Amino acid sequence: MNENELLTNICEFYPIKITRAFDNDKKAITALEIIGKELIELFNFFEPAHFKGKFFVIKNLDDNFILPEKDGQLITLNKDILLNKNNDDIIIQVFNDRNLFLWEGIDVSDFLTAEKTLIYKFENDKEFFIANKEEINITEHSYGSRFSNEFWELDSILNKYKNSKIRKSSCPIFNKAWFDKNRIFFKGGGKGIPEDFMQQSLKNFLDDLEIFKGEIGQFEPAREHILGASKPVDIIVTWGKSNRIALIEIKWLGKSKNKTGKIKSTHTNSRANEGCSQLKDYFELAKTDYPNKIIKCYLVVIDGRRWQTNETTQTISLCNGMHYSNKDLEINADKKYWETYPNMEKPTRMFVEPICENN
Amino acid sequence: MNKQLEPEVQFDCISIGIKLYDYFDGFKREEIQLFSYFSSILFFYTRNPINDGDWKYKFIIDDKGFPFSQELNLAIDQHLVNGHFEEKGHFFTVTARGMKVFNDIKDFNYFSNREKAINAACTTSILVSYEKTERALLNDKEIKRKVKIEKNPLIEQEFIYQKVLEISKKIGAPLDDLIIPAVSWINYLLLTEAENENE
Repeated sequence: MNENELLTNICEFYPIKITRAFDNDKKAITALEIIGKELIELFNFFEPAHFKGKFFVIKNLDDNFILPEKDGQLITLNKDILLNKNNDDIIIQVFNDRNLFLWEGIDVSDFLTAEKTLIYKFENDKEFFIANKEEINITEHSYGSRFSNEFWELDSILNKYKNSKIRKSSCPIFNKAWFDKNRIFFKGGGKGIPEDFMQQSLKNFLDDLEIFKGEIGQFEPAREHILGASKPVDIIVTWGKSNRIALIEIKWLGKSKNKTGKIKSTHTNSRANEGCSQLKDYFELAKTDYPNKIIKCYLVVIDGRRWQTNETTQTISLCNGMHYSNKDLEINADKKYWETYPNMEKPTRMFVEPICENN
Repeated sequence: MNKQLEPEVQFDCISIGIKLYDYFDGFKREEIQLFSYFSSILFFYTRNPINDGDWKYKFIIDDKGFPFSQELNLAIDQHLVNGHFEEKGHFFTVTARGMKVFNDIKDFNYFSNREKAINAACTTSILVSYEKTERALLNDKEIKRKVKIEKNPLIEQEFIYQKVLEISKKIGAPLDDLIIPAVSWINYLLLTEAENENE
């Protein structure tokens, strides 16, 4: 890249485009700084990925009201009212003193062309700045916002875990879950076997990540709720300041053997369906226990299914061992909660490869 | 621990700590070091050489490739001992007492230029993203070059500042502002990162 190309690329970066759109007015930089910091704060109460309407944060360079003050609501001290907003269009104006006013049900054309005003817009998982009528796309993630990426980050981490630790059983803790060296059967027959190895493996992976700021623990429903829950959810991740929690339930598919080599359990696709229902129950309990938290639920399905195996199987062909590698889970229509609830993620299937015979 | 620390280093430490805690829910020792280092470069923009002098402390590159200042490290320890910071798992957070101390001193004129530089450095981590800001600063070609020649080399902040200034001037950034030079510099480092790797 020659120097001109380099400089052109630098100028394409959105803060510089915004500044230029306002003729290098220093107030535009201040407006950008204030909106950026305020978005981080607002997203402690509001998860953009769960939101189906349009969300605007605006800053007038001269600090004047852009919409009628009498129709707005001062929310500086009660931003938590954003917690239950899911559909309606929301407009928030931020001021130099960091006061915030909220308007709802306003025609957006009333302010989109306002003079000397910087506007942040979030819609359909895309985000923009509108600077002096110029729309600048700043979308960085496939969902949610670049100013609040806890759930997106956790999703990426689970994918990384799938590929780097599970696919080839590279995690030594997870590897203990296997009954045999060819990874055809899981261990079974003891309390928490093989589940404990899987839970511990994922917990350790999250714990060891230097960048991950979530806190790992276990969901302990309030006393009255534990009566309704058959067991606690496997992992809970909490982010103190950003007001978010993630519930992670782990299920495994495949066959397990007890110490004497007898088949102990066979978990098929229906186990994933059970996991979906169970996680939905946890979600309902968590909503009651944590009414002011933004909740996301993840079902991790460790897929160790092998084709045509029985108690005497000791080796497996490539064809039988990898039979399920690309077979997605079949979730019943009434269990596809992620289609209705933005708080429920689609299950993450993690196929574990066996060691196959040479063909 | 018995060494008398300059007020500047204590101020930098708590100011950066509060911002990183506010934006990212917690921080590590090396993050305080990294953002103090970035602030020290931006500080040249604001300083009045007669009144402000220099940044007061220098950085070397530690074995993990992070900028490191022993004074700043001691200041972190002191804030922990005084209950301004507390450890929470792998990270530090700022306590209510720490917030109060910072609120009491943040508007002192004496620190105002340092605060401008710190604010610009930390705001960059919001506008660009923390991960990219860290990656860019740690992969700076000049720093990598020095590490190859020498163990734990001293960073020449003014030399890097001259390069930041050059980029800012070439893109026509306003000279009385720190945020645009800061984000432009990070963007420059990110854009040249791939080329550096191929060298």
